[in-house]
This record gives sequence, C-alpha cells and structure tokens, in this order.
Amino acid sequence: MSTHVVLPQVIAPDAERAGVSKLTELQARVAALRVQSQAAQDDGATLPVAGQLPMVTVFNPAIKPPEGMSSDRDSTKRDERIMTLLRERGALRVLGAVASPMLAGAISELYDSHPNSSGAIDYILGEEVLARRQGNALCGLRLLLHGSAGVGKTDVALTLAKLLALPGEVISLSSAQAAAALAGSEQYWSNTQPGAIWKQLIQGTHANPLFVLDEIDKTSNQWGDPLGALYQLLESRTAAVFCDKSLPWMPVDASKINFVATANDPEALHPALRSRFVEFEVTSPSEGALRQLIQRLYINLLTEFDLIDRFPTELSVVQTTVLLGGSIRDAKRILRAALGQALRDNSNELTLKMATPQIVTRQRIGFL
Amino acid sequence: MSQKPALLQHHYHDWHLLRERFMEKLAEQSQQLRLIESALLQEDQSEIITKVGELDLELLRYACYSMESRITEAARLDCAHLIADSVLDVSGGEVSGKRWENWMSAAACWPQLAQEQWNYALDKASDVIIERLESAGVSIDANSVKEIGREVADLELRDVLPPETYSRIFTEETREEDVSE
Repeated sequence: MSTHVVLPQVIAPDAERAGVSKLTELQARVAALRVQSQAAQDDGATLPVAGQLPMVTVFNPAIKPPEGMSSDRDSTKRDERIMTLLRERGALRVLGAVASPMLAGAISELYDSHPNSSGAIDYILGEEVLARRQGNALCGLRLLLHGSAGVGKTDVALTLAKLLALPGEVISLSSAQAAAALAGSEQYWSNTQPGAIWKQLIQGTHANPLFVLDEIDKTSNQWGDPLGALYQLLESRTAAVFCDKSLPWMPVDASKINFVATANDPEALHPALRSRFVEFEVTSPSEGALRQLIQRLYINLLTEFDLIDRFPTELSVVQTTVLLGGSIRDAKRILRAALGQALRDNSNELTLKMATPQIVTRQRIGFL
Repeated sequence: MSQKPALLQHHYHDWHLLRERFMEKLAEQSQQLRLIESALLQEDQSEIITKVGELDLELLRYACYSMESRITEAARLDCAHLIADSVLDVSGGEVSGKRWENWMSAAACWPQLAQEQWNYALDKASDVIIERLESAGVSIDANSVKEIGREVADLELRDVLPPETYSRIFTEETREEDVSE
C-alpha cells in the first residue's frame, strides 16, 4: 500500500495554518503517531507500521469550549478533561480501507460467505473501484440492508467491517437508550456523556469506522428520537460538522463514517430518512448456501475456542440438516451449547439438541 | 575549547594514577584557599604570596573545567527533557511552561547556558521524545523518527517558553545577541 502520513501542515489550508506555532505542529505530529500506533496495534498485522498510514482531520485542532459556558466546577473540569484528551489524541485520524485490488479481493470474499447479499456486495465493489480512481478510501457508505429476520443482515455488516479492517460498532436502535447512544446526552444532565459517533472519532483511531444501525425500523421514541441525529449524519455536508449533544461547541467531521443499517421492514422508515440510504434486499439463503453458512459458523466457533484439533472440522450432512430446522442464530447457539457439553463430557462427539428449551425458545429476531 | 578535551584526558590520566590521594589533594587545596582568604583578610602580603605559590594550579584548573563541563552537560540534558516535556505536554502548555519557568529561575547561569547549548539540547531532545513515546507503547517507524528529529531541530527557545517568561528573562540585549549569532 503506497500510503503516507498526511501531516497537519499538508491538510490544513494556509489560512488555518497561520498562527500555528512550530511546537503546535510538532505536537500534532506526535498525537498522530499515537493514533497510528494504536490503530496498527488494534489491527495486528493488517496495517502498515505507525507512521505510514493515511490520515485526515476530524476536528478543528484550535477548538476550545466557549468561555463562560461552563459556570459550575464540574463542567469546567469536564471541559478540561476533554481538552486534555483532544490534545493527546490530536485532530488526525487514520483513513482505513484504502481502495486497492487487495481490498477488492477481501470484499469479494463476501460472495462466498454471504451469497444472498450479492446486490450489496456489487455496490460496495463499485464504490471501491471509484475510490481507487481517486486514490481514496471507502468512506461514507450508507447502506440499508432489509429482509426478513434471520437472513444475516447484521452479519453481512459485521463481516464487511472485518474484511475492511475497520473498527465497527453495532448500535441497536430498538433500545431505549439509542438516541443518547448515537449522538450523546443533553448537556444539562449532570452525567452527560458523548455518544458513539463522537467517541469513535475522538477516542478511536479511524475517521471512517463502520457503524451498524441495527433494526432501524424498530426505533423507540420513548427517550428521544434516535433517528434525529441520523438525518444530519447521513448527509455528507451536515455530517462534516456533526455536533454531539453533550459537546455542542465541538463539531466533528463524521462525513467519512460508513453506515450500514438493517431493517426487516424498510416501509416503516420515514421517506426522508430512507432516501439517504442505498437499499438492498438480503434474501433468504438457499439450502446449499445455508449449509455453507452453518459450516462456516462451526469453524468460527472451533477457531474462537481453539478447538480445531479437538473436534472434526466438518459437520456431517445429518448435523447440518438438523440445524437447518432453525435460524442461523439458533444454529450458533446449538453448536456452542453442543461444544460446551462435549468438553464437559470429555467427548469428541457433538450432540445437537434442537428441542432444548433453554436453547430454542425465542422467535427469530435477527441473525447472530 | 578544542584543547579542553585533551587537557581533561591528560588530567584524568594523572588523577587516575593518583586516585588514592585525589580526594586528599582536593581537601588540601580547599584548605589552601581558606588560608589565602585568611591572609587576604589580614593583608599579609608575604603569606598571600607563599600560599598562592603553593596552590596546585593544574588541579584547580581541572576542577574548574570539570565543573564547567558538568554544568554545561546538565544544562543540555535539562533543556532536552524540558523540550520533550513541552512537545508531549497535553495540558495546553501550563505544566511544561511552569517547569521552564522554575528551571530558568533556579540559577542565574541557566538562561545563558540554555541559549548557548540549545542545539545540543535539541539533538538530545529528539532521543528523549522517541524514548518516552516508545516506553508509552507507541511504535514509530524510522521515517517518523527522522521527521520528529527534523522538526525538533527547528524549535527555538521562544517556541517552548511561555511568552511572558521569555520576555522577562531574555532582555532586548540578549535577544539581539541571540539573533546576531
């Protein structure tokens, strides 16, 4: 990957650089190195070593809380802590998933693992090619994957994040705290906290992480409207100056964040919100594809628990047929329970119990 | 300046051979200086001449040189660490500024030495910064090490000192000398 650190002096327009001292520039470089090093460590061997990753600015480094805004001591201390964090982390974040033939190859793996999402995969590969022509990275994806429960929508999104080597975060929009989880809680609460967007951009390492907005059609407005922030976040011009409710004085550039939303029923979304996404239907996998998915799931479990040498690496046709009786989520639970039981019994044989009440009692409500 | 290392080596060799008596000889010279002070107070010309004649000028010259080189080295090292403090400061300059202020005020010789030894201090400061970052778990590639070294080498005293401290300590005259150098 022929990428270089994009230093502050390269990014910042001359007007912004005016008045920036040599010490400030050096501090920005050191902060960038901290972020790059963390990104490289988080990613293991996938990324090049710190100092060679492309970076972009996610906030104005000259930003300060407005004077007089923090009247009480707690707020002042909080602002000081935030400022210390901003100085330590600097304004530059790594741009992951730089478009390249290698990245396209990685994305193409989805065709095998998630053949029922080929429409979305085609689109992502198209975006990759376009980004490659500009020497850019995969940024600002806004996908809406819809389809019936248990077809693997969330798994596509999470696998995509893994293949792109981007940090990913799942926000369940059906939860009561979804509004605050995404865009922070209002400043007047004593325990006000910034939301996931701000945290990923400031405390995280990447400018283009991947957020999975799970069950976007099942939002609860009981504690605020979680979709309110999305109107701003899904429009690149407004996302570039996104303000967390907890830190309204500090706009961050969220325009490069990738969003993949999942929904069972896209009709339930407001048209204005729906129009901000590119929609793809994730169809139910064929029986053959389902068998492949179950086998992959099994291998993942063996790998996760370091059991590759302990159990057979392939499920029998009978076993996969048993597992076809439930959803993929059920299959994962059953396989996990069977592995646990086999270990307890000091046995190498898996007994798949479809009817165990503790395991298979709930309705299918998603994928994994 | 160029002769001093040779002188140091020469004396180091001598004092190394005489190391059993080195401390004793230093104590003797201190006593000799006290006797000269006493003779000066009493205005005893002949005693002054005698005692001055008995001084071990080689040893005293070596002691002065040692002190000068140690203080110079201390100034370089202190400045290097203070520069690193400034670069790695996340308090907005408050903490490192206070440290500079305290150091500069601790002895009259530091401001001048800081100016004179600045380039040496910058050279060492890059190493200190890299060491501190690496010990904090930051892995840095060779190119970034070079870039940091280049940018550190560009720093001036006025970049790291709080402006009011710089104005107070370095008079117009000193600053002009600084510029003319």
